[in-house]
Amino acid sequence: MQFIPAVISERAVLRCPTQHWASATRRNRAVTYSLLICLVVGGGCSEGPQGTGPGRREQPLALSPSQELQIGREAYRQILEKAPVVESGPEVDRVRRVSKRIAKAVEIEPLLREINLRLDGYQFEWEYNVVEDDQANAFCLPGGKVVVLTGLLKIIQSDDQLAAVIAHEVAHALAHHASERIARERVVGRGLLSLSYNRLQETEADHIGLFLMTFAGYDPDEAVAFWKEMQNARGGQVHLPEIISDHPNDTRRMQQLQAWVGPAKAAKRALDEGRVMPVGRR
Amino acid sequence: MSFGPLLGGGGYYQPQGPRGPWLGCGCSSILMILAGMLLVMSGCLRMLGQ
Repeated sequence: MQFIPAVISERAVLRCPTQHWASATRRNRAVTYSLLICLVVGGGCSEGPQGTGPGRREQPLALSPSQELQIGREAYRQILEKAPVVESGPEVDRVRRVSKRIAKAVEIEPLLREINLRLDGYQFEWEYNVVEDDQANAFCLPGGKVVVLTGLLKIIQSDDQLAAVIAHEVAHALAHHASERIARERVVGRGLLSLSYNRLQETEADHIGLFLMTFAGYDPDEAVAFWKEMQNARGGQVHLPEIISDHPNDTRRMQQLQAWVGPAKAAKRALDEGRVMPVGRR
Repeated sequence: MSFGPLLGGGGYYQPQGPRGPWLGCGCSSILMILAGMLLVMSGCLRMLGQ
């Protein structure tokens, strides 16, 4: 915008070499400063997120730690009152054994710092139950209340695959996704933007879950194998296009998980070799 | 012996990137484009002025 008057004035003084030179210098200086500002601001923006959420992204939360715990307790009580809970048996033992190892991984403090999980002041009362249901699903409520449906256990081929699912669900709770969803929906409502945030949370739970299962001693390659099993189990089912779905599509999911397997294994190796960042440094 | 960043510094868990869930605000690229446009504009104005 500022160049137009400069051009007009330049045309008016074309016959005066000194003034022409002075005007050109001013213009060059203006261009240089504008470019510098663009590059400095642009460079600053490319540094990456600096928020308080996982991976240092911006994350608004609607619930306090005690509210999260209370809501999780109440919802779990209501679900278990109505659902056909499997009280005992090899499936229950298996789910509890794997879940306990995942919950143990949550205590690895350098891992929490690595992901930037906010757990100070939050309380997790881990509880694991199996519910008789043909759906291939599982969930973890705020406060660490896990439910695995028997339909899922029919698809799962190994403890590593079960760990992938449980770690994914636990990741939702650790990353306070329920609280964030309430905060986001207060602002943007329930539209396409809300769906894109839900997809972000799913992807984030995949990412965090992959690290958790690796740190719990399970094979992260099995997370990719599990999604292949899920894809096969769904067969020719028609899927919603990703943009109007709250979950990423299976192919994208597998690609992303595959890309994170290497860093997850390398991070676990760093822990095993004692290559840990001292507290307070970053 | 393997090398890499120290665990706890965010060097392993990096969601941003070509396949990351959030790709940054995009303003970096916009500003780069703006810089390019400024360059072209200044070149054009220079030609007009001569």
